[in-house]
Amino acid sequence: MTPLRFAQTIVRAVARLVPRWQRRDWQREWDAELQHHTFDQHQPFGVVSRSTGALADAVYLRSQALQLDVLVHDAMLAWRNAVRRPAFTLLVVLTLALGIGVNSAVFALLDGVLLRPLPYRDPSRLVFVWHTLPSQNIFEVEATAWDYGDWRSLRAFSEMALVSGGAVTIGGDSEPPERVRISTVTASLMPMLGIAPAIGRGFTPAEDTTDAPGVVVLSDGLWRRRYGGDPAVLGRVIQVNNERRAIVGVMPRGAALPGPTGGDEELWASAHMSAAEWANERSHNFVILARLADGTSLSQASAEIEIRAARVAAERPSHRNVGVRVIPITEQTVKSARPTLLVVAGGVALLLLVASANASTLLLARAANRQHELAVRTALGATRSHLLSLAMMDCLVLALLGGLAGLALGSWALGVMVPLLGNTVPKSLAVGVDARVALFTAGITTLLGVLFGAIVAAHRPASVTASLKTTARTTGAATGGRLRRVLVVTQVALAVVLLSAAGLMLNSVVKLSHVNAGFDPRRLLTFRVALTTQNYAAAPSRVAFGADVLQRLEGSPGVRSAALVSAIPLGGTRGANGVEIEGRPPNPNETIIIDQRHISPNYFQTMAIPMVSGRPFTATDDSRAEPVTIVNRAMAERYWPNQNPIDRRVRVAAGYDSGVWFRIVGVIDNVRHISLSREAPMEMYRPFAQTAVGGFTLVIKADGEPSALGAAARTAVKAVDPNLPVYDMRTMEERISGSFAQTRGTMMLLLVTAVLAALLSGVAIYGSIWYSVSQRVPEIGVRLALGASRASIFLGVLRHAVVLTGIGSALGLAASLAAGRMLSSLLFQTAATDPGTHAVVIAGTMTLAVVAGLVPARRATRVDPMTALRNE
Amino acid sequence: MRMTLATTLVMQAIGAGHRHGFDIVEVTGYPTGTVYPALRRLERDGYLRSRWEAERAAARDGRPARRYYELTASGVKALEAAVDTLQQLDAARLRVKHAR
Repeated sequence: MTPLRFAQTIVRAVARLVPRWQRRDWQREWDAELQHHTFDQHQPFGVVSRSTGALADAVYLRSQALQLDVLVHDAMLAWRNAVRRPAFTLLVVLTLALGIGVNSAVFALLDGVLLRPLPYRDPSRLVFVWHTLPSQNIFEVEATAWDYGDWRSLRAFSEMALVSGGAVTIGGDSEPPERVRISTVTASLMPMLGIAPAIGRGFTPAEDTTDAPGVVVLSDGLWRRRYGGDPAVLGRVIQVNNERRAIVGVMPRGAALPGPTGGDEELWASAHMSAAEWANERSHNFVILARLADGTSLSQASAEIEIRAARVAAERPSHRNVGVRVIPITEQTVKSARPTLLVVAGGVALLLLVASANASTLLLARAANRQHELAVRTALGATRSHLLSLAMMDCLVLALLGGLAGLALGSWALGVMVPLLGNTVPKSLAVGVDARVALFTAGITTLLGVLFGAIVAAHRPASVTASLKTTARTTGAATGGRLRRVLVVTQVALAVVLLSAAGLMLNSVVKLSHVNAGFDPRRLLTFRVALTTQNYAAAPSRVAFGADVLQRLEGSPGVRSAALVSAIPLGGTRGANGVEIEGRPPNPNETIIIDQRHISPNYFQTMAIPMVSGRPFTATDDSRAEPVTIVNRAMAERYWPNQNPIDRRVRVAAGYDSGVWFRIVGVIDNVRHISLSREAPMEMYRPFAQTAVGGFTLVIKADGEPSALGAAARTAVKAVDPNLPVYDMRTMEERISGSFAQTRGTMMLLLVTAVLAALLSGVAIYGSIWYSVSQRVPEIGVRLALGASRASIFLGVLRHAVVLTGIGSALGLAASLAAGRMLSSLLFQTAATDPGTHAVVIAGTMTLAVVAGLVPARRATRVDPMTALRNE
Repeated sequence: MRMTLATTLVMQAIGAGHRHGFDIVEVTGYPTGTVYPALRRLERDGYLRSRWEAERAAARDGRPARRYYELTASGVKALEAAVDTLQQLDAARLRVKHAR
């Protein structure tokens, strides 16, 4: 052997001391040096002498890395343990994935909606400014264009913008006409929010007025869908309703207005308002957004604008009793979502606790089985810290697997949750699984891993010799039993809390679905049409269109009757107007504002809304006849209590027929127009033939399945005017079910969470009783040998399950009653303490306990006394 | 980190352009069992960094690639401080000698 080969052998032998992850580089370095070592003829063994230094080097590295190396080794061991018991690993991982997954999904929702700042420049300084009508308990009314001009002079706001939303028909290009959501905005809006078109330009101040031609900016979605993402679209002129508008820009993807009105606009239009429109102080159609001036607080701004509002209210009849309110955009955008999201978050957090308790039970059971092995390790010299490291690694590996599976599950669950929650998640907010969600998941995963490790490590054998002497079975019983029972009781208690919450929500949803909306929603198909093209500028043409379409629809097979209405109940729109009642002296402290509906004669018949008194409209109530109106019961009871309102007269304060007296010819029953959970507003109905509104919903009563009439409805409209788009087509039952989608979504999420928690608790009860029976086999054997009946053994085991569940249920019930107030804002006609719901939940949980206890109890009765005693 | 004479000399050698293990062993005269642990310690504490020589350059010289060490900015500072201390020690020793 040459000296070089000898030196290399030494290095290779010593390399084993070097930590594994450093070994390759270490050996490479030493090999390179040895191979190139210049030989000194006088010292042929110099290379060997130098190679001996490798030992000191390796020992140094090993001593440095000893701790890290042990951890890596333990992690490998933990991984092998996990793979060696696939069924156990799968059970723990699935349990954790369930808990972690839904929490990741709900965190993504919370983060996107409540935690993350809105995507605008300095969003904390942005506010909405609303009018209020305190005398009618209305605290959010759109402002007028005149107010916008007035408020801009206030020093409290550095910037202000005006927005109005709606729907328009676009066309005039090579594409078919289409109905799209539009936001009409002033030039100040985009700079104020800190958003700008991705291509092209925003609006100029001149374009706020009719001095400059009106222009539009496309949303990214409309640009891609309608124009194939063609940048040459800039400069093209399109028809927006009946106006020509040039396209000057395209917004970036995801750009949206804040607040309840924003989020789904496909077209942004310049304000393009005439001097008369800017001076209008009666049309409350505009949402006002503003930025607080530097150094101005919200309360200072509110105070300044309230002083101005009080002065205006005193000076101008149009603003009598009108107040103002300033709301930060963050609060406005997310306030309706907060209670729902917090309840759902609370629910899934409880599920995580249940899943963690369940996983702890499983890990403790396994640790009990491994105590003999741990005792052997201790006897062979393993230190306490090494045993702790082993336990931690075992749990961390399982938690990590659970976390990874949970992240995948959470991403899927989020996709399911967002549509379930309906409007809870504002459309302007992007919600998804991103780095923050992954970080959150990693955080709870690590926390759980460490927690489980600590629990398991806390139950290692107290005495090595005792553990070595006893069998694995008896050791486990002595150390983990009490903790396991505590965990089972905790799981049952948490499951009861969740089941109660879900039960209360279910109760609310059932009650909501049985609310009498005031009309018969069965077999009704509804869709909307807007007469916006030049052809319908004159009122008679609109009336003729309505009559023609209704006639065609009623002539279609399968249609029992057809009608039209300006705002369909639960359709998300309502129109209201100030009203004056003949003979009622004007009261400066009272502004009468009544919802206005414009209907065709057979609307009440089609909707099956009962007449209280008087008559419905007839075909003769047209523009040549006396202007007439029908009021609803709520209005009649408010303004003519114990009197007959028929033949009284009312008139509206604004609009084209303001000043004209309408004779009341009938009283109709109330309809829950806004939502099923809100009382009917006061309403006035007017004949369409006298008002000829340009946008309305058509309602068809079908003989059979209403959705089958969709094609016939489109054909009827197309036959009258092929250029009119038909949109928002839904059966009335779909509208009703959509109106409480948020409550139903919350209920569904809580119910799924509660059922999962209950199932996990059931498994925990089963596991705990089964385990306790296994431990007690010798004792049961002795009792049977001494003459105990099998029935008494059976009942004894079952009693154990019932007692554990009973304690858990009692604790859960107490917690539910204490926390009920959190849920009460989401409930409908259901008390948070509803005894029926709680009784059903407790009965269900106790049944679960009995079912979970049956199999172990039967096992206990089958113990053979002779075998049990012999094994002992 | 404790700056021994050996660590100071190893750093000085690297600063002077002797960049791989046996070269440093040659110029400092310390055994490999002293030089290598010193290199590990200096690298761990951020006074040195190491990189592998490009395979192509090593192949041109007909040898395997070496691990080269170089001083980091904090290594340069630490070396200056250590040399300074040694010089002060030397001056003090001379003063004591003359005083005798």
